[in-house]
Amino acid sequence: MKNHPHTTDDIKLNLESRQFRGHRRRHHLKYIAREQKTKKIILVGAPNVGKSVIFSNLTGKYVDVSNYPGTSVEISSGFIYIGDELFQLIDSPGINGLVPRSEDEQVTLNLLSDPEVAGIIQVIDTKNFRRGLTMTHQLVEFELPMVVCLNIYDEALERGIIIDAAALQRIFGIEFVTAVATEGRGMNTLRKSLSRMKISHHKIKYHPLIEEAVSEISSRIESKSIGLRGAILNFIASEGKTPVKLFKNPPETDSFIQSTVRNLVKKLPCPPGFGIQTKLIKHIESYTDNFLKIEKKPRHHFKEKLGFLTMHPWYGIPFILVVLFILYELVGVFGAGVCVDFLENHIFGGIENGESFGLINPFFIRILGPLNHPGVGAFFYEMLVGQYGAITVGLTYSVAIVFPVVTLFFIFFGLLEDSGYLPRLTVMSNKLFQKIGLNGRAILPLVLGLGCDTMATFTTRILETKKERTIATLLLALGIPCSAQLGVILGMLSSISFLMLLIVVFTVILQLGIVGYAASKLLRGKPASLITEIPPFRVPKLKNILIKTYFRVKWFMIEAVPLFILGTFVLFVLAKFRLLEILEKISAPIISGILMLPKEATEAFIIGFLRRDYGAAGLFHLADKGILDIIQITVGITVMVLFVPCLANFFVIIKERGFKTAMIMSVFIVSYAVIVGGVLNQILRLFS
Amino acid sequence: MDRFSRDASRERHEELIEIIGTGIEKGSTRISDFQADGLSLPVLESLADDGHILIEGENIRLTPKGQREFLNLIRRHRLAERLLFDILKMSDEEGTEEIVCKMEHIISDDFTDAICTLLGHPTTCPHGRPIPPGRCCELRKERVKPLVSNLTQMKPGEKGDIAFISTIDHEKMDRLAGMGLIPGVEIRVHQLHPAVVILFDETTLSMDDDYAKIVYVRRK
Repeated sequence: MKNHPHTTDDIKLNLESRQFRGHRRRHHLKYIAREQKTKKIILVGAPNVGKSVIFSNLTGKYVDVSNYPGTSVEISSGFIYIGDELFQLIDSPGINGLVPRSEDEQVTLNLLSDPEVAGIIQVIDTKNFRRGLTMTHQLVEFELPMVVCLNIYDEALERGIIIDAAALQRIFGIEFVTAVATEGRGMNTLRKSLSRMKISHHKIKYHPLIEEAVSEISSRIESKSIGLRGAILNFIASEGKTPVKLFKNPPETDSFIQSTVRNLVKKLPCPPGFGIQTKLIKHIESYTDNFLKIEKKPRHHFKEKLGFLTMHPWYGIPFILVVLFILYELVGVFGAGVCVDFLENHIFGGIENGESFGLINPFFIRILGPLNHPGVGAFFYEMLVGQYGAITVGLTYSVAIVFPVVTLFFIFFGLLEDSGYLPRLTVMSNKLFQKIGLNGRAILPLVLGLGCDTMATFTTRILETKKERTIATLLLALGIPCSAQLGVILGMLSSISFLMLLIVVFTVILQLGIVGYAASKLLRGKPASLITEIPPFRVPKLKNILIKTYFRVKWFMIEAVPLFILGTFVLFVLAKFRLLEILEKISAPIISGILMLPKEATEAFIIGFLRRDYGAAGLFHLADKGILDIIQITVGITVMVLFVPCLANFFVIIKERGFKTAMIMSVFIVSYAVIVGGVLNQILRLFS
Repeated sequence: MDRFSRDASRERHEELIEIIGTGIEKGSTRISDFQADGLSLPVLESLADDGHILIEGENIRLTPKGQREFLNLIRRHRLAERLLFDILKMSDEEGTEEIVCKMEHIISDDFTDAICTLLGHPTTCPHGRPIPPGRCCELRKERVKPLVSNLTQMKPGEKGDIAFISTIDHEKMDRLAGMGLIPGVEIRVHQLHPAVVILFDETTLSMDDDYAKIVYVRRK
């Protein structure tokens, strides 16, 4: 199984024979899908089993990512040919069991109950076959054609776990395909097996009371859809918490179902979800000998020991520091420094004092030059390429500055994910985050915030509860400087005074602690408890990381670029109608009164709302001219870090948390930042 | 009154308190609810005369005295369930519930505390209902070395079999079962800080104390 140069070959051939090229192919596929009511195939599996690698391997590059209607769960979908027929392949969220306990399971369940579903591909981490087969049994209840992929087969072999796929096939009556998806091994076999998907009839008898309830409920349901038993079992397992709409019944039937389940739960010796899963695991134990052979193998002690070292309460810390250092060098120095400089000055550029540099912006400025006459022409000229132009500022900012930073960040992030270090970082940081109402999982968005707060606010979706999402969003907006700003501040402040840099860092971190702690006490709801599987350390595959990065960057650019341009437009309007000046006048007393900064600093603060790095740079510019003393710089920078990052971030907060929350947050942050600045100013003046 | 009938009447009395207390625990407080369960009005009135319950219009509630007696009973009942189902591995078909129902009337407070300590002071019964804490839980007086303890009480490197998962939070139970962590699975504790990490089969699982406290293990 070595020659798999192009795993998407047959799809490509199929498409090329239909003579479609480039992006038109994708639209064509979408068109066919709409017209012919394409059947769906659902990819199901636990987290960390290589589902998304298999997904991109099967679908190629025409992939859509969208939210499942009414949820924050993202699902990818693409197209796949089986024989001559076109199917839509949907990647469901990674789940550890089908009992609907969170949105993820809920979405998977809804996907499976869709009448358009034609089949299931289940992915199992072979070495954890017990857990995988538990889910296989649960999926079988949906009475859909299935195929199971025993993925990460190499790791199982390394551990001396030998699974006889043919034996499993005999037990279930469906195909089991062994694979190592990251290397493309087994993918062709999997693809071929799709045309031979079958319905398994290997069903289990559960507790007699459960069976009784299932038959009672299904006799009352009129629309006898496929997989009804599966849906009912999961409804029971969730103790009636799955929305009944799954079945589409008249209300009296719904209340009958509800009361049947309530009575059942009272009579059962243990909670039904737990009971069902326990029964399955025990059932699997009864036939394990038929398909499993264990060989004693020497373990990879080094990898394992290293894996545990990175989670050790003390020895784990140096690893974190090294990771943070690499992050800083790669994203901060190389990305925000070298790449941004190149893109901003040599590619986009502009015209300053009559001198033009770079390519794109001078081109647009020249081509739009004829428009620049008083009246409507000048209005559009300024809107596109003026001081707050959509092209010269909005586009330049999102492509020249955010794009390289985000891309490098996602590459680094992909490395952390695929190597298996990320969950270990979660373990290390859990205790700390619990103090501020979050859990270790929050390290993800908060670290991403050091790259770009706008992007990070999107990723707070991975947190389980609303409370956690709100706290993380607040902390990101309040005290996590993005890489653009971080670069300027670190570079400039450290050259002025290292002590002052420490004061700024200390003050900001202190505020994160105080606000986080207060928010955790004040906001209602409880934080989700942490339970995470720690995968073994793996050597990441560059190709997979690049594919992942490509999709993530694409997603980010689609979501965020319009926001950056919208932000620029708002600023353009403010400037055009002299509202900026009014804003400056209103805020001047605060700036000079409470913060004791000269009124010239006001402009820097307002510009900072669009681009945090410009704001910081504006302050340093004033310092260069000798208008600011060292205390004023320190206070100014601290307040600027604490301020709401930028308009784009503000828009994302509105989008993710709602208008009301966004407004409350912004008002709080701005006033809190000013108060902290005022206090810091007094303290510094006292000691100087 | 001979001894037998005295015991029988006390047993009957305790059963009544238990039915009412459990009913209130599940949210029913109306007299009619209890009449449906077979408690006649005179019986309820006699309990009210004894000072165990209060009848307020259509509603019933336990007096402090009645509440005390109820908690005591239900504690014995649920601890007995844990012992018989989880440790002695008796199944429902063997009439275990009936044994439990008899046990709760005969075991003394000291005996109850000893069972509680032996089981590592569990907080819920196998049905996921709460076990009221006794004196032993507050004192943590470990006269008998606990046979079973939760994950946070284990030491790194120790091995054991999962005895039971004890929590009223069924979502947590489902999550653990979804990970493959069910009674009977052999685990090894790798570390307790900064989060608990355990190993079983080919899985390394980390969890915070919220989860670790509900997983009870029989040490090896």
